[in-house]
Amino acid sequence: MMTEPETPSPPEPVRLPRGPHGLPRGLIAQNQRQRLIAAMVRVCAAKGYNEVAVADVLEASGVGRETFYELFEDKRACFLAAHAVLVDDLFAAVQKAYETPGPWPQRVRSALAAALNWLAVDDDVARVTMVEVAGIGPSFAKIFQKSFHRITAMLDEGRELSETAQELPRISSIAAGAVFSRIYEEIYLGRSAELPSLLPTLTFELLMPFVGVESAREEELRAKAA
Amino acid sequence: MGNDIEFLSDRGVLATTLAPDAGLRAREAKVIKAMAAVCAERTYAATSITEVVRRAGISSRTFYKLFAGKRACFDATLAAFAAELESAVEVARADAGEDSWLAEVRASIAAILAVSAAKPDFAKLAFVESIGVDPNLIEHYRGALAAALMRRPTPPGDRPPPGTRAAFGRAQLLIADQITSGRAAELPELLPDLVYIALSPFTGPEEALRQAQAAR
Repeated sequence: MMTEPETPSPPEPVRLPRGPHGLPRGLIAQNQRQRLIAAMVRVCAAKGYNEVAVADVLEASGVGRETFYELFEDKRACFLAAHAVLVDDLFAAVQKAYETPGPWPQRVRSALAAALNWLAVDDDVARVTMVEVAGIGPSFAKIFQKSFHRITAMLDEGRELSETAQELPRISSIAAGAVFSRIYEEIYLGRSAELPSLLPTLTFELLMPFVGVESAREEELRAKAA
Repeated sequence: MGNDIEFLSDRGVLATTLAPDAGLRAREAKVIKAMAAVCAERTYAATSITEVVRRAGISSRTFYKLFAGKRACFDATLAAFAAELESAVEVARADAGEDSWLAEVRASIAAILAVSAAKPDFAKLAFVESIGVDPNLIEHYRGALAAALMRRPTPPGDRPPPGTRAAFGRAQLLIADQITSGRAAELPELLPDLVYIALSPFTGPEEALRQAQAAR
C-alpha cells in the first residue's frame, strides 16, 4: 500500500463542555500554544506523562521544535500549562453552577453535577486533569492539594448551616474527600463517561457531614429525579 | 489476609522476605528505610536505585539480590509499613478490651496515627505517594484498612454498609492533606475526625459525632 508523505494535521481539539450561551465547544487549536497544549493532553492520556517525549507533542501538534521551546521551557512546563488550562476551566464551570441562587444543598448539587459533566465529556481531558498529573514528580502533591483546597474553601460556606462543623473543624475536607477519591478512581479505571450517573450518591456523601442524613437523602432524591 | 499474601507474592516480595540469610534481612531493612527516605524527599518517579543504594550503604549487587527492581522495593517498603500498622493495631485493640467495639476502633485509629507520625517518610509513601505510583495500591489498602478499622461484631461474610468506600476516601485525603501541609508530626490531632469518618457508615453520623467528641 502506498503511504502518503506525512503532513502534520492539527491535533483533535480538546473538548470542554460549554453552557447554553453558544460559545464554541472546546479548546480550539487556533494558535500554536493551544495546539501544543491540546497535543500534550492527547499524548499524555495515551502514553502517560513519563513516557511522553517532546517529539511526540511536536508530531501530534504539527508545531516545530523551535516554536515549542520559545513557548515552553520543557515538557514539564508545557504539561503544567495544559493542566492549568484544564483545572481553571473545570473550576469556572463549577463556580458558575455554585453561584446559581437557591438553597445551599441545591447549589452544592449543581456544582457537583457541573464537575461530573465536565469530566465526562472527554476521557483524555479527565485523565490528564486528575490522574496523569501525579506523574510530574515532587510538586504533584502540592498541585493536587491546591485544587482540593479550592473545593474545601467553597464548601466552607456550608459551615454556618451545620452544627457538626463546630465539632469537626475539618468538615469541608471530610466532605470533599469522599467525592475527590471516587472521581479519581472512576477516571483511573477509564469510566469517566459514567461519572454523571454517580451524581445522586456523591451528592449524598458530599452533603451528609454538613446537613445530616435526612437532608442529604432529600437532595440525593432530587438529583435522581433531575 | 489471604489477599495480602497473594498481593505480595505477585510482586516477588515474599521470596525476598522469606530469604533465610539473616544478614541479607538486616540489609533489607536498611534498604527499605532508605527507600522511604528518598521517596519522601524526591517522590517515587524521581527516586533512583543508585541513590537508595548509596543511602543504605550497600552495593547495587546486594540490592538486586534483595529486589527485582525499584517497584519491588517500593512495594516491600509499603508492605513493611502496613505490617507495622497492623501490629500496632493488634496491640491497641487488645489493650482496649474485648467488650467495646467503639473503644477498639478509637484505639486502632489512634495507633495508626501514632505510628504514622513517628514514621513520616513511610506515612508519606503510603498516604500521598502511592496514589501517583499505582492507584491499584489504594484499592489494596482500602480493603486492608476497611477490614482492620471497620471490623465489628457482625456475622462473617457480612458486607460493609454503603458509605465505607466513601469513608476510606475521606480518611485518605484528610491524612494526605495533613502530610502535604508539612504537619505529619501532628497527625494524632486528626483522631476525632477519623473516628467520625470510620464510624459514620456503621452508627450514623450522630453517634459517630458523639464518639468523635469522646475521642477529643
